[in-house]
Amino acid sequence: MDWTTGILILPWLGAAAGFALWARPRAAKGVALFSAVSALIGIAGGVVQGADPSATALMLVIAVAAFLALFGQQCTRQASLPIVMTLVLLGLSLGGLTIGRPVTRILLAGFMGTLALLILWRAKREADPLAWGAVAGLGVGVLALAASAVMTGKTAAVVQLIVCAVLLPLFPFHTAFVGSLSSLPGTLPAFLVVLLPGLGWHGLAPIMADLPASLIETLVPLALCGSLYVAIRASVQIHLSRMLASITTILIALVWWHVGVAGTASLETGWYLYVVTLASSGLLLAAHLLDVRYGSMSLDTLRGLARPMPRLATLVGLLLMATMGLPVFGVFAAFLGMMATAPSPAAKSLMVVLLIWLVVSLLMVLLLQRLLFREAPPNLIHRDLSPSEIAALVLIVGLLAVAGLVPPDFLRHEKEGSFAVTVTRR
Amino acid sequence: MPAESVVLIHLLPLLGGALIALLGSRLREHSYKIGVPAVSAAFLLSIWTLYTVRADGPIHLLLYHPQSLLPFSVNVSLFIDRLSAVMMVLIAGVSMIVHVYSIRYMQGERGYARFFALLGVITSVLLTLVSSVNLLMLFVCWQLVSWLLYLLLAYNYTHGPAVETAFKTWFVLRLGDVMFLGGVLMAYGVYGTLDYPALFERAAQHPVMLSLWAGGPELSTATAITLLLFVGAMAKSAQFPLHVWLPDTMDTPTPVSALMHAGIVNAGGFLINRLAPLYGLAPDTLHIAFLVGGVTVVVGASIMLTQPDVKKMLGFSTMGQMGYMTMECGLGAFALAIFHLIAHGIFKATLFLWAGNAIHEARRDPKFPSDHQVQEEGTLPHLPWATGVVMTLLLPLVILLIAHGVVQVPLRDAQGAAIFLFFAWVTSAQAILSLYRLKAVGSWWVAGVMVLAILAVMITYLWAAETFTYFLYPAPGEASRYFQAAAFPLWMFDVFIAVVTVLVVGGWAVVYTNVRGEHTLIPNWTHEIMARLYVWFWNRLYVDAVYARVGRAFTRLARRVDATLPEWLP
Repeated sequence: MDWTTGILILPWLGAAAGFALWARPRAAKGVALFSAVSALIGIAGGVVQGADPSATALMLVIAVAAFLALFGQQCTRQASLPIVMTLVLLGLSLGGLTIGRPVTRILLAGFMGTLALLILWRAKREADPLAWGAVAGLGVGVLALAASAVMTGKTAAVVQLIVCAVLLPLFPFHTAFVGSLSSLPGTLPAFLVVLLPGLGWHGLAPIMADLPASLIETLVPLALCGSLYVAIRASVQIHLSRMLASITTILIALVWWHVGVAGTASLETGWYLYVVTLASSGLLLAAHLLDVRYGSMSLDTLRGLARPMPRLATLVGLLLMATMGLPVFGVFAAFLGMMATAPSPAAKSLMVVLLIWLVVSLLMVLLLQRLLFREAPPNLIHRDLSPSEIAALVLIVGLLAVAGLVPPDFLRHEKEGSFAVTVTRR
Repeated sequence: MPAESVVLIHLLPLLGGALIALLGSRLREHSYKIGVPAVSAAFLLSIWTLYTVRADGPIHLLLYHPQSLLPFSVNVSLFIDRLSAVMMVLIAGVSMIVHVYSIRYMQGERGYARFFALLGVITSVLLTLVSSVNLLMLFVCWQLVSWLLYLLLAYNYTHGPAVETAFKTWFVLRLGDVMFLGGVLMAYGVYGTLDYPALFERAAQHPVMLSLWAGGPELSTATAITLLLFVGAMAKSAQFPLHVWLPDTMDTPTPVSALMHAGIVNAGGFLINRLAPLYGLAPDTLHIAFLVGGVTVVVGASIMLTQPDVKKMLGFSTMGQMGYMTMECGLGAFALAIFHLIAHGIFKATLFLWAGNAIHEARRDPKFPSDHQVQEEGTLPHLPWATGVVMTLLLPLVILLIAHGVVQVPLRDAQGAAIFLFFAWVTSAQAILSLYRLKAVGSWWVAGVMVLAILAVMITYLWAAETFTYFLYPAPGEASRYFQAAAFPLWMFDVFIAVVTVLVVGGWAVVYTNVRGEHTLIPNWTHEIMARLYVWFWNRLYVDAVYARVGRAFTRLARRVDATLPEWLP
């Protein structure tokens, strides 16, 4: 067994051990963390062979996300399911990114199928139309994946684009993304918010050359109108995780916009995507910590947390600040990088993009106010974050700050004649 | 002292703020012991910097070189010229006063440490903003100021109205930030750089025309960029119709109001000055700035006169003053705008910090007018009348003639200088009117001293304006180039001057004759219009109400749309 196989098998071993330790979530979490950290070290150490550089970068990002999600997972009685499923999904995605094409499709189909089954299982317990929408979305994704396997050329590329749109949320295929983040238990949403778009993005780059130009141009209005649609729905949303999922969808729509105007899946856009999803992951982790304390309360009843929970308020404030694109965090730098590399025809839709950016800021601050400000309801017992919970969120805030202070190189060079865009990230 | 020590001006308040934030729960009411020395040291260093910059020229301090170990994207440097140094002294000075004032004022407040931490950080960000070396650094600080101001306004976050006001402020400021971002992106897209010297040079050498749509009207990229950036300045400097956030921020602690009115609202004026070479290439933007400033002056001052609340009056007064500042920028009188914002910053900070005491005193001792005073109402001695005429009509004319004939100020070429004199004229007219109504000009002695004082103030204004212009823009011909770029056609300028003169003189005539109880030439039907106008201005021209209604309509629409859409398609 070579190193690559060893790394790929680690999450499965961790999942198996977690399954064996189902009744002991704390032990299961320990084993899962060990598996995730080992996989992370292995990928970062460059021992995985056979994957292209972009796949290796994505593997690194999702391994970090898995580690953070597992680290932030609270050891409640129901914790074993998200712990085991995080490792299963990590194993499927690492395998899909490393092994050759036919197996990749099977693993990706298995990934979406597993996700759909998990949502179905949850939906049976809580009748939620959104969960059914998510299952339908994932079903479309699986069907498109199967269809693309038997097609060739441009038709296959178009069908594969649907798979990408399911994973990397694009209106109207975003139901799978929003539904998954809203329905799944524990810190799974905090992991999936990085994993799903990452896989979608990875699948998008190779098919861009085969997509018809008219279809690529269609992505621009679809992304912009879709994000405005999602923004309207998010503005009246009262469920925290669903609102966060919607806001992330809006931010990811800008990735589609950039792909549409540039005609390529550029490195800057990929960097923006990773940073946005990391920031959202932090917020979903915080949502999980609230969920553990208060259950799934609506934003109308859960408020005024700043006074009784100052540590949570500070960290959530910083994460919101990062997600809405304020300096010195990575989303700001990455957004600027993405916008600076947009070609000149993008100027026509620039005002709409800026409007979307404004809307996200407003939604974020409204969320901040609803959650943290005003008087807290007197009937709730508050418990501020423990040191381990703080550590999980501080890690994400720290990563986002580092990402903001080390922006892409392209702004260093002046754009004269041989203006070259390169992103080097370590 | 080495030039590198200027970095301490920025670092000290930042480190102080960070330290207070980290140790806040332990420091509590001792937080000021870190904040006040840090910002005081920054103030002293900024004075030294001003002296050094004046004597030895600008300081350019490279903090991170692009070739350094860390791959920083742009040149992270501090660039401190005379403009930056002057602004740094103002910011650090006002912040120091606010810090010292807050020691006692905020005592007993729950978020004492948080308040000092935020104050330190926002001071550092403002200082970095004015010493930024490129448009990107400026934009980074610009956004952070919006955010930190939001947090300061929401300081008392359990208080509903304070939170609502903070959100309103965030909305407007963020709108400005986003437009600013549009300007930054366009500048980078067209000229390929964000560094000031390269940007100005390329904009001057390679004028590019843009078309809004195919076959549509064209405008230069310099105009488009400066217009987008100007919207950012409008939001920060509370220009009509983006002024709605400023007058409502009175729920915030008084020291924050002082910092806001003396420091933060000046950001717009600074921005235009910093980018003066770019604005000099965009006469259309300058004309729009003049128009926006003019409307802001009229609206701000008129609403101020109808407000019953002292702090709200001060808020609208700031709006009006910022309008003057923008008008000066619109006339190319960039240095005058800086002089104005400094003068305004100092007096408005004083007023805000004193307002609380004045209100407290008034509540404790209402000071009702005596019977003797009430009986005197309606009678008018000749002395105040004569003083008013001398001060508001004759004196400005004499000064204008002296300025034109003796000092050789080319008033027709330097239209900004004329506006500045107008400002002095209107201010002194307002001052004498207030004193006149308070019956404070009762003797020859007082009247004489007032005439001399106003004379001295106006001559000082004129001298200072002239000197300050050459202080900030010492390069030969630079200041006059901006004046020329912004110049209106002469006939239009003459008409403007004439209309304002007629309005001021006519206004005085009406006021005097009304107070004397004599018949005026104003027809009776105008009284109804005046009453209606009064109600309109008292209700702030319903601008706030319109915005609130639009906001509510949007929320209703969103709810209705959400209810009709399927739940499975979020």
